[in-house]
Amino acid sequence: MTDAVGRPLEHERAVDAGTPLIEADRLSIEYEKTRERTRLLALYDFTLTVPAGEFLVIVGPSGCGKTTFLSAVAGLVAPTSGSVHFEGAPVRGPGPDRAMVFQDYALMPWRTVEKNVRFGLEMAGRRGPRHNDAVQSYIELVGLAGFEKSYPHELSGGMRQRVGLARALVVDPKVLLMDEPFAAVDAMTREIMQGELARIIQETGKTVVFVTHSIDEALTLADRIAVITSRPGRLQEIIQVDLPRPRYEKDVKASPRYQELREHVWGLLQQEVSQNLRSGVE
Amino acid sequence: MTRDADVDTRSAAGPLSPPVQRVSKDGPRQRFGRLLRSAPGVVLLVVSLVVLIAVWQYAQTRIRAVPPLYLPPPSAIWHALLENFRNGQFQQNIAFSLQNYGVGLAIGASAGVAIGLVTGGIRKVNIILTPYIWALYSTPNIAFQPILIVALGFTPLPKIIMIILGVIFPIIVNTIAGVEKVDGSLLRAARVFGANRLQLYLKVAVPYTVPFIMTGLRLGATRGLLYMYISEIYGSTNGLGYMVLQATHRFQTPTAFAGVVLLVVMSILIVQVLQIVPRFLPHTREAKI
Ligand SMILES: Nc1ncnc2c1ncn2[C@@H]1O[C@H](COP(=O)(O)OP(=O)(O)OP(=O)(O)O)[C@@H](O)[C@H]1O
Ligand SMILES: [Mg+2]
Repeated sequence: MTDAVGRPLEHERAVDAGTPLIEADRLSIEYEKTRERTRLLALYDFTLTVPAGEFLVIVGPSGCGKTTFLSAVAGLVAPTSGSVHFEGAPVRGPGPDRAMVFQDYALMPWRTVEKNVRFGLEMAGRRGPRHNDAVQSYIELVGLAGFEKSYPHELSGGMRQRVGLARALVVDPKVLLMDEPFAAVDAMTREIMQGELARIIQETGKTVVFVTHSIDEALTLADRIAVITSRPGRLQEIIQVDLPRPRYEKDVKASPRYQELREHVWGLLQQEVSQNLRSGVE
Repeated sequence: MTRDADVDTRSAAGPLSPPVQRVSKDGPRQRFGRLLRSAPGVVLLVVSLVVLIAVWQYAQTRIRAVPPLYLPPPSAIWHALLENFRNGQFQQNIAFSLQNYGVGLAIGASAGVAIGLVTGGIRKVNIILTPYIWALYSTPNIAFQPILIVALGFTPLPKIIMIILGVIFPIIVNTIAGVEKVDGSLLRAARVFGANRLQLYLKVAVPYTVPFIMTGLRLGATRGLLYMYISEIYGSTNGLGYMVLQATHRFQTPTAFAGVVLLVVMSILIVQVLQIVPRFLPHTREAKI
C-alpha cells in the first residue's frame, strides 16, 4: 500500500509526522434520547485533523462532546452529518488500528491481568507463542510484571489503568484514544503515570488523542491542545505546546512559557464555563 | 498495656473499673470473651440455641405450658430422632427425598440457566417468553400437583417435576436480569477491541451473569426444597414430607418434629454449600447485586 505520493504507508507512518491520521470534517453527532423523544446535539460542525505521531490533548467543559469525539473515531457512534476519516478511509466501525483507554478502566472483573491484556488479541483470534510474548512484554512495559495472575479487584486504581493501557497497546494500534485515563487515580500516581505514558509513547511512537480536564496534564503531555466549546462542541482553538521534552514537571512548570500557555488555556476554558453558567446549561 | 487488657471484657467499662478483676490470667470467662470477639455470630447463635432448647425443655417437662402432644419437649424429639435413625426409617425417607431433590435441582438449574441465557440474549425470545415466565413464577405451582399425579401416578416423576418447577423460575429470572444488566462500559470496551455480537454475548454478557446465576441458584435451591416437601405431602408414599405427615396422623409428634428438624438442617447445609461455591469464582466477590 502506498499513499497518494507513492510512499509506503506501513513503516514510515510514525516518522512521517505530516500525514493526517484522523480527519474529522464538519462532524456533527446527535444522540437520540429515546425516553424523552428528543435529540441531543453533542458535537456540531467539528473539524479537526490529527497527524500521525502526534500527541493531541483535548480539553473542554463537561458534556461538550469529548467522549463523543473519541467514540466516533473508535467507530462506536456514527456521524449524523459530516465525516470521520482514519488513514483516508471513512470510519465504519471499531478496528484493531484504534484502541481505547477508559476512565473507568472497563476491565473484565472475571479475567486476570494477563487475560484482560489479551482480550483484543483473543477477539481477533490471534493466539500462539508470539502473542503470548507480546502480552508479557506489554505487561512488563507498564510495570505490572508479577501481577499477571491478579484480578482487577486486587489492584489499585493506578495499576488497573496500567492494565487498560497494556490492553490497548498490545493490539499494536495506530492511535491510542484515551478518555480521561488518569481522572480516577490519586494525584501522585497520576503524575507518575503521566511520566510513564510519555515514556511509552516516545518508545512506541504511537499517535495519541487524550482527553483531560487537567490543564497541567495537557501541558505535560501534549504536542497540541485542542480546546472545545461547550455543547454542542466545536473546535475553539488549537494551541501548539512548544515546550521541550521530556517535560519533568518541576522544570517545565517553572518556565515562563508554561505559565503563559497555562493562562491562555485557562482563559479559554473559563470563558466557556462562564458562558455555560449564564445560559443555564447544566 | 498488658496482654490481659485485650482479653478482659471489663476493661471496656472504663478506667474506674477495679483493676483487681484482672488478676485471674485465663479463666473460662476470659476464654469465652476471646471466642465471642473472634466469632460473635457463631457464639451468639450457639448460646441462643442452648437457651432456647433449655427454656423449651423446662416449659414442656415441668410447666407443661402447651400439651406435649402439640409441642413435645426437645428430649422427646431427640429420642425420636435417634429411634428413627436406628430403625432405618429416616435414612430410607431421606434417601428418597434427596434423590428426587438432586435430580430436580440438577435439571432445574441447568435448564433454568440455559433458558435464562437464551431469553436474556435474544430480544424476540425475551419479549415472547417473559410474560409466561412471570405468570408461572407467580402462580403457586402446587396447583399442578394433582394433575401431575393423575397423569404420572405415585412415582418419583411428578415429584421431580414439582422440584424442577420450584427451582427453575428464580434461576431463569435472575439469569435474565444478569444478561440485561450487563455493564455498558464493558460492552463498549469489548466492541472497541473487536468483539462481534456473539463474542459480546459469550465473552462479556455470560461471564457477567455468573454472580446473578449464583443468586438465582441459592433462591431456587431453597424454593426447590419447599416444593420437594410439598410434593411428598400429597400423593406420596415415601419421603421426608410423607413421613412427617404420617407421624402427625398417628400422633407421633416427636417423630414429626424430628423430621422437621432434619429438613431445617438439610436446608441450612444446602444454603451454606451454595454460599461457599461463589467464593471460588474470582469476580463474584466484587459483584454488586
Ligand atoms: N449514549 C448517549 N445517549 C444520549 N446522550 C448522550 C449519550 N452519550 C453522551 N450523551 C450526551 O452528549 C453530550 C456529550 O457527551 P460526552 O460524553 O461526549 O461529553 P464529554 O465532553 O465527554 O463530557 P465529560 O467531560 O463530562 O466526560 C452530553 O450532554 C451527554 O449527556
Ligand atoms: Mg467524557
